[in-house]
Amino acid sequence: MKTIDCTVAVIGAGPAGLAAAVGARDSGADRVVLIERDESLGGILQQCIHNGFGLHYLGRDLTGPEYAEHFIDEVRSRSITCLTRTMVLNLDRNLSMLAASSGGMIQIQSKAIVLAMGCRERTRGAIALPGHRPAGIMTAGTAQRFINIEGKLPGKSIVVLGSGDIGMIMARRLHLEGVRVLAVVEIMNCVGGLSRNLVQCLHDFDIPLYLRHTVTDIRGTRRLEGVDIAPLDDNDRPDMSRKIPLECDTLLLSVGLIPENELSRQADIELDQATGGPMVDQYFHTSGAGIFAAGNVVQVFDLVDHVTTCGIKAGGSAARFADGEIRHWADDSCPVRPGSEVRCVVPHRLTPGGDGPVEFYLRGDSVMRNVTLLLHNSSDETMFSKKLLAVQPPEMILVSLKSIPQNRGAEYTFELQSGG
Amino acid sequence: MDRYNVDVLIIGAGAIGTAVARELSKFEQTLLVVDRLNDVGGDASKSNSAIVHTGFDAPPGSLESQMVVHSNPMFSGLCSALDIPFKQSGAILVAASDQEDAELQDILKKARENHVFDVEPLSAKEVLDLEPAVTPEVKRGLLVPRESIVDPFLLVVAQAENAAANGMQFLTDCEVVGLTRRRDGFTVESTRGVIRSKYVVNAAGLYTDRVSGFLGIDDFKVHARRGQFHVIDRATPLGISHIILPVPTKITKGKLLAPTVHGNWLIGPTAEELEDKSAHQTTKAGLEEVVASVKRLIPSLDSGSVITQYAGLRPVREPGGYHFRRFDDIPGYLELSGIRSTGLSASLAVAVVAKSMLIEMGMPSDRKPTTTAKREGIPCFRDADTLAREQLIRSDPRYDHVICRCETVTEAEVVQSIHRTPGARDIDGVKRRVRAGLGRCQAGFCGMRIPQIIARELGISLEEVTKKGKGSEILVGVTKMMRMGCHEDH
Amino acid sequence: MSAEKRHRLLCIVCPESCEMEVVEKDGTFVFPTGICHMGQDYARQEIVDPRRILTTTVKLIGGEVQMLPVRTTQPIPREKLLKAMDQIAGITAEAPVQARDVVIPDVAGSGVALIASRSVDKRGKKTK
Repeated sequence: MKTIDCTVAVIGAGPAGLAAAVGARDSGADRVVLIERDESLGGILQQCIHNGFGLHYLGRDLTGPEYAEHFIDEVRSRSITCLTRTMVLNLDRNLSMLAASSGGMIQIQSKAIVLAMGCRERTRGAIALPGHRPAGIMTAGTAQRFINIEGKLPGKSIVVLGSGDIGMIMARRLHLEGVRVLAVVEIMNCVGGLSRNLVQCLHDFDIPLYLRHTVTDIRGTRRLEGVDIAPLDDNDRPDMSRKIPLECDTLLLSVGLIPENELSRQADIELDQATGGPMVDQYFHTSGAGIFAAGNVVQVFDLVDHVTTCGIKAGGSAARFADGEIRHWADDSCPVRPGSEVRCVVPHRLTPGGDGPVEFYLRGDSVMRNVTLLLHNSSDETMFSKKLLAVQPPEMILVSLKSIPQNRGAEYTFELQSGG
Repeated sequence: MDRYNVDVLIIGAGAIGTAVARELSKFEQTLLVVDRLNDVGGDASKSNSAIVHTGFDAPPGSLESQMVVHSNPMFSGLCSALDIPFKQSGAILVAASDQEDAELQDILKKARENHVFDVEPLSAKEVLDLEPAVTPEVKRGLLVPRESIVDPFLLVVAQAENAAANGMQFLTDCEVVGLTRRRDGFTVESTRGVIRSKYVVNAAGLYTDRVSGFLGIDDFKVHARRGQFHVIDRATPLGISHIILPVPTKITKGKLLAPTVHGNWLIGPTAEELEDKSAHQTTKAGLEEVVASVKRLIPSLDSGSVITQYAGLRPVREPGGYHFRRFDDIPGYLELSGIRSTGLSASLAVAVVAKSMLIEMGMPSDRKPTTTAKREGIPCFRDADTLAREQLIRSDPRYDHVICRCETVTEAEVVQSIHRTPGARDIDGVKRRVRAGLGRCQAGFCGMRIPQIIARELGISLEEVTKKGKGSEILVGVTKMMRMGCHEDH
Repeated sequence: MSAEKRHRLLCIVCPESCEMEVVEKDGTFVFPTGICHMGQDYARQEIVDPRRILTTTVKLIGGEVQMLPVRTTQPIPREKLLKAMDQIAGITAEAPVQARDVVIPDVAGSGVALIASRSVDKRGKKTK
């Protein structure tokens, strides 16, 4: 069996992995190996042919493939070993991996690892959508892959369930290709993605958006023939007396993203219930010493630019860990928790002894205007506060704390309060 | 239209039909099995609780009881010979109220009447020692050690492959639309041609009444009783290894929780009487009912960790009960009707009895000189250790290409599943044979790869690849087709 | 003297996502109170000349992948989007392609070029 020894191994060559590989190399890691299960580098970016990538990080408005190519060039110019069509099957706490690749099994032993596997889409089964199980039901990402990579159309008349960014983007994509997009159906009372997409994907093309509605039945035994949608009543149950039948041959599901955590579970890495991904400290170090994580595998980001920033940091940290410059948090770190009106916060822990500002990435729980973001410690002292005009769940909140006492035993909570 | 001329025709390629086929494939008789669906596996036979029952709770003295009780011990030998995933997990019947507790004596008595002598009473503490996740309200329980779990689809496919290896022919997408008795045999009209046969075995499950009806036999009717299930992710920390059974009521057997041979759990089924024999849909109410019911016995059940749902349609005969019938005025016709709920469990004994009845009816029983009683499954990459994996890759390089992340299924296995006889011809066929696409991401990763492999191996276009046979194509055409077709006047 | 026109818009400039009704009369715009100058600029552009970057795919012959992702270099008038899609449906590109290669110099008469968004090698060429 082929064996590879390296300084930093990065699992996944999407935007997080590409950034981590670059970050690791630039922080002095000798042998960096980038592992990707697909045939080419770039991950999900290759099928995200729309623009909006790189506005912050590169100051340019790029498409997914353009953004990917920029970082693929960065990787290629740095003597980073790329293993494509290679899937990591086993991850050990002792930082060894087993992978399947063309030619056979490979054993990889590394001094540090960055998990950058991204996320997968929530499925019909996971939300227990009732009805028949015909052909014509797929997640928005799978449809995107078919249309943009394979050049095949999944259907001629479509309903999209879920108004997250991917759902709205696919609604536009299909409309532009001449497909009838009957509706985007959203269970919450506000759109699930960025306003920019609401305008440029739905308003632009008069695609109907049904808020506080859900799919209640799926018809068709072999191929989808139609769905029923219904509004939710005050008890959040579908009001069947007001159901609307929609004739369509395709139902696309855009009902949430879940971090890809097969390997994290296997290596017994502590996961955060709120995000579904590994708990990390400000170095993106997970509960496994030497195992770092960045990008959507930690929590679902809305802008790839932030994924890149975190990836570079994680790769850099991995390199420094391999060099003995930073140590694992073990039992030493301070938890950072989401409090009132905050759904989740990353990093989850602060390891003492660090220097420099710490970036926090948070998501609010609901739509709020004129809010104050507060950080308390366990003695209820306010360590930090910032006024924000508006928050909504689809848009991540970024906050940079220049100095934060990283004393042992401290515990921190972020919360959002109404009122400026 | 095609014409077929065989000695024995079996209508239905579910658990019963394929088990009979396997038995008969040892003989010189030419055999054909037909099914109206796109694949073998049957209808109810593949959408059930995957349990091989002991018969402890069957109606004592009934034909059903005999069949189930006699089949159960045959399973481990068969599953070993045919490489079918099978496990004697055991079942615990849980009494969670005083009323239920009072029934346990009768259940034990019934078990003994059914000749299932190894049912043991358990105290509450014993139940909780075996399965700590059971409700603390448990009063007492019963342990039924030989209640087992199997992969129901592989059970049927493996027997079908074995029968095929011994010369049996299969026709799928073949619905019987007419059946007449001629002087020297039967003429069967089907959607794939005319079949002439000396003997006909009706193993058509939901449609046994329709098939017998063609011959003027109209003394029974079959309707559907739907059972809905949830599948729970094996990553859930449930920690349950036994089948957990409720105490049955007068009306229903109740909803159970069962581990699957693949490490997941099933919960269900509902019991809904329906006229529509194609009402396979799941319903919100039905699924909620399942969760509420099972939560009573397993309070820690979290419905947030479900992978998927499905519904099976039990064929309910009226008048009820197993009926194996021959008719003096219709020589050569064997009707196997009324098999319901325990069909999978009873199938092995039913097949032996059906074989005997056919021989009594005059079917010659000369054996083929060589037959095989063994079958090797598709070598599974996931279950192999590193050394074995390397060997697999050497034997077939496509084992190095993992295409299903959740279930760790490789391209080699997908390809092999297509080239078996009977092989997979569509996405569901691949999914059921090698588990690609039925893990927690529900084909999120392999969703494009499986159709690509099917297209390549069958020499068809991606647009011709179906989910489950003609009419269930997953794609409608090329990306540019709508714009090129519709807007010439721009 | 021309009639008054009312435009309903959702501003996308910042997370505030202000909804506004802008009154257009005799070439001037009247904004509701509280709309910042960035939002006003955005609204004016959207009313007078709404433009969008078009991203789509083109059938690719002989490449490592089937479809070539493409984009307009600049935003084009919104009303030209579907005409552009028709034009794009009728063409194919040939591998190898470099990112930024021009696929259509002037798409749908907008004066804006359609370029490749990805580099694609010829099929069969082995790259590391």
